[in-house]
Amino acid sequence: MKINSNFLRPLIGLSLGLALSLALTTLAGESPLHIAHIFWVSCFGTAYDFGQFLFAATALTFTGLSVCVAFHAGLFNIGAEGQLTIGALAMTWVALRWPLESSWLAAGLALTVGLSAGGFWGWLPGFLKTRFGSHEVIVTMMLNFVAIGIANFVIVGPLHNPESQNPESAEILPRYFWRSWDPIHALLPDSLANFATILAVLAALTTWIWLFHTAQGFQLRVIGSSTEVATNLGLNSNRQKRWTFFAAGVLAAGVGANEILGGVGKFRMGFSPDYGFLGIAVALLARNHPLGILLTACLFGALQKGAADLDVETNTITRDFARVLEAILILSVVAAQYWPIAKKFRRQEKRK
Amino acid sequence: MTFSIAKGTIHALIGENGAGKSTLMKILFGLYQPDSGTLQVEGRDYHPQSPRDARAVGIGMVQQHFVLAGPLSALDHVALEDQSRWTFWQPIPRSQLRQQLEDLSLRYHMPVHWDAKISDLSVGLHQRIEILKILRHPEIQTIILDEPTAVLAPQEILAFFQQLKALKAAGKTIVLITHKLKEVLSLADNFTVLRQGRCVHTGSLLGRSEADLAELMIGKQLPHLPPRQNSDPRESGPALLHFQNFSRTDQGRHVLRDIQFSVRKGEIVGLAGIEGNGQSEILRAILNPPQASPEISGELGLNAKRRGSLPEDRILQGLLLDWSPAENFLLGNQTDQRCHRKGRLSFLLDWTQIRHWTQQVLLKYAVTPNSLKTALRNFSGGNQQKFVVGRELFRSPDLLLAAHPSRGVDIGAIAQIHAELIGLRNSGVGIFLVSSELDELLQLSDRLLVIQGGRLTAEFARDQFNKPDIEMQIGLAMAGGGPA
Amino acid sequence: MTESLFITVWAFLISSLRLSTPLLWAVLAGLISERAGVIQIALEGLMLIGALVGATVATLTHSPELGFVMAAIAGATLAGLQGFFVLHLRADQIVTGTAINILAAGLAPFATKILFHTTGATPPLAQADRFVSAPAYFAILCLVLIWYAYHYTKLGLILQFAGEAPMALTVTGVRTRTVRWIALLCCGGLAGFGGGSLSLFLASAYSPNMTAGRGFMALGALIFGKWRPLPAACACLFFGMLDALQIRMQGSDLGVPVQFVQILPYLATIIALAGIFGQSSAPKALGKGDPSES
Repeated sequence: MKINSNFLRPLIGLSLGLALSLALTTLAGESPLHIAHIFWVSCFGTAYDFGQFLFAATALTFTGLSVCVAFHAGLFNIGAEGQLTIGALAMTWVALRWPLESSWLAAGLALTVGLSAGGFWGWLPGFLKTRFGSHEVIVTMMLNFVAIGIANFVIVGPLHNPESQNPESAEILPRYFWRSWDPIHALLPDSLANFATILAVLAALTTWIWLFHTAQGFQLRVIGSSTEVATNLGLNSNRQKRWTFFAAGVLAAGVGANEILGGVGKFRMGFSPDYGFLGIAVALLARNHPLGILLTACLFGALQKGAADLDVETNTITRDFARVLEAILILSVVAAQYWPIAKKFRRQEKRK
Repeated sequence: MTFSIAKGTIHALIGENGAGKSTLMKILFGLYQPDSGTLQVEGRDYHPQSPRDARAVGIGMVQQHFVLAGPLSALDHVALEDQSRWTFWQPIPRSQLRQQLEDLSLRYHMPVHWDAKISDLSVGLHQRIEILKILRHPEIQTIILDEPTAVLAPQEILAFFQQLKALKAAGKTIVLITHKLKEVLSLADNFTVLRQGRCVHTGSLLGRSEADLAELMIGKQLPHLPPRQNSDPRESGPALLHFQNFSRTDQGRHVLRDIQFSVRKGEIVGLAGIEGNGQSEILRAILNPPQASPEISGELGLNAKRRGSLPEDRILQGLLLDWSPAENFLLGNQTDQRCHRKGRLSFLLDWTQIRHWTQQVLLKYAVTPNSLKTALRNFSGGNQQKFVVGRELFRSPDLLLAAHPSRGVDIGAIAQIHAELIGLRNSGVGIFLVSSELDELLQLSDRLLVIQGGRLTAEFARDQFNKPDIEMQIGLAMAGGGPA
Repeated sequence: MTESLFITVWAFLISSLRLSTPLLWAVLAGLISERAGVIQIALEGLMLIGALVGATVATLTHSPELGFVMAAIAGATLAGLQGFFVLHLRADQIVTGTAINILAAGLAPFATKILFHTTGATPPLAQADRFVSAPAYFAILCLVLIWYAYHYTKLGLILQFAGEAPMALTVTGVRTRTVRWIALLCCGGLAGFGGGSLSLFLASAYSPNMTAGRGFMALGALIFGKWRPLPAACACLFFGMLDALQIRMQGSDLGVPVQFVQILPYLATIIALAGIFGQSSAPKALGKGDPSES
């Protein structure tokens, strides 16, 4: 795989997309330069801003990796949203109902239970696909809605915060909250940034090494490229796919750690501004390269943070504008990627 | 390139893969455009821009890979051909069409189930449908057939020959693209040889022999195969691979029944049969040994420490076309210690080493282009196959499964691969050879098995191969008759 | 006793038919697109745009008919964008579809903020500016027309070939790409109708994310119906019944938590997909922008 075109083309697409999106803001009556300025300040203006930006980027890294890993196995994981919800839910439940004295034990327990729950929610579509041939795009999408329904029921019911009218859970027990020992929090005290950022980076590194530098990762990529070749090599495609979907669920559940255990300390309904879907964009823009995902997650985290500030600073642009930006970015990168291929085919056709 | 085809004759266009036979005929049929030169039909200039122009002049073509869609019926395909005749809202006159087609079938003695789904019909019937689609148009006087017998059994081939002769008697001109020299000799009147896009020879087939034609095709004499060393495989220890009363059902239907054979060290066991009679299932069972299940009975023993496989469809099953040679090299070799780092990091792949080994294979088997940066898609069929062979042999397998090794490979590369196989056999490797080319099987096998309907219907030893009616016997077994 | 039961059942059926209307539109849209060989993941986004435009135009012009038509045009336009990427650039169909969904989800609040200064919904429509029953009847009419065309005319034949064996089409002189373009635009229009029927018929305005996964459920119904018009439509009706059931149960005191009832349609889709109705009947050329044909 050539490095140049892998890097250059998405970069070109990205730049074009950014330019296009900024131009779009003139429709809303704003100056593109003003918009760009707001974006910049919103991420790097103060330590608080930077921390918030990091918080968003961390969540996006997890969901991006989730989509990326599934993609390398030839699977589309549209269900990161549901997987992170279930993971976060499980973590909240453990952190409310299992008092423990040791912070380490608490962290370990919450992570294990939460990540496994997310993993299970990811394993389900994998199982349905390999056993029944169900299309994973639809199943994961449906499971997203089911997860929200379950979360709704649990948060408004058993785990509800007695001191508040909001649809949120009670605050988790202090031993489970990472703030007391979190080094990242110490660096950026006012923001929600936390130790999960380090976990995200580690996850990205591990994924990269595993996918591209181990035999098992290689086998997974073969399965994702061609089931026939995989069968010819004697690989068990179905089992690998199920495990991969499980891993995707585990990665997505990392967002739960970021939000519940490290950042906010309670489960607020709707806490995820579509991290799951943005993860798809993050992964695509990074061409499904785990290390590239770290970069694109930062980009999208900046967009998220910036759009929230845009909402406040302008009259006409809402935080959903970030979505438009993201869609334009995806399409621009896709266009940049496929343009030369399409040109080649048109040349071939002319010859006929 | 300059040559002419006489009216009312059967003209064979022969050449290796990539020589340009299909391309030339596709130009004639209007699918491609020539860069220069003229085409003439019956003395008039002819510039086809599309298949419709070709048909207007009376030229029809049956492609090598049929453009038939699975769940639709033959009638649907014919209706599609006529679609311009009807408006958007008219219901398609199916019963009328069906009647026409039945009449046509009757006239040429080629019965077909016009309403059956294509996917339910045999490949032989597919070809019949394609030919009838052309014959529907009485103005078609020239029929181009691209590798028509590639998918037919010996009996079907005979029937097919009769049909061609009948068409010729009815005044049609037939152009046959083929690489099967025996058929050329028994069927055609004239021939043209293409080599690397050039017309090398054209003329009558009188007095020509197979060797002549082969020499013209490749431009030099065929290399001889290395001699076979005589050794009795039975003395070389336990079988590398053995099937014992092995049966397998799939949704109630038997796909394999009482399969029993073994492959020992130092022998080539060949399996002949029409495609789709169980060969793929046997190969799959060896590659992915099935777990115990109610669908499996009997025993499958695999005693080979290392095995290699040349898959049936190398593009589909053996290569990842958009990946680099190094990554393709790793397919099957990914757990080999030589591809990993040393010491404590041995779970990591060593890409430098992998690229080194890949380069070695490219050199040893004279694979072109000799570059680690080109995706496998850009290699020719023969070079892809040579690459696969080299990659599989890297493991020094004890058992090699070779499925259709010469399919889509030019004669020069085939000779090289055959020589390699004999060499392996001589050095003690057990080879299980599945092929639809009888010549190849007869040339290489020590023992030849025949499969039909999931059952082994015959077994021949090498000393029976030079009997005069051996091919007929094999053909009978492939159709289900013959000694068990 | 039996009379009130009859009335209840009848009301339930009518309610189901009403509720399945958007889904029916979406299924017809998906059918045409996927039968032509283009995977249609973007039904959600196409419907959303249709719902938004329909409600917006009806609010501004007080004409639901105009809103309905504009909804279809909006859907077709967005589908045109999808077609540019998928058919012209031959980009990955699922990626593009997902991007279209995200785009629609982002554009909608952007537009409502600019036009109506609201946080994502359009202002409520008066009764006179909405439909009472027209979209449902219209949908059934389209179903009948499509069913006839699909099974009996050459339109259906060409469509099927585009999805099963594009090469066969090329050889007869029909350009597969043209067929797919037309199919995609029709799909967008029908999905737009579906969105319009959401905001102009079932509800009285556009509200954020009002499609609520219907675009994906339509895909489920399509697969369930093996990509054929009538069976897929029946699946839609079944989902509509579940929706009607869900609404009824919310008001009642059956002790079942509200959220469980709400997720019934989604569970049903999953269970339907887990049946034997797998992928084996999918059009063979689905998703493969065959490069060797035009």
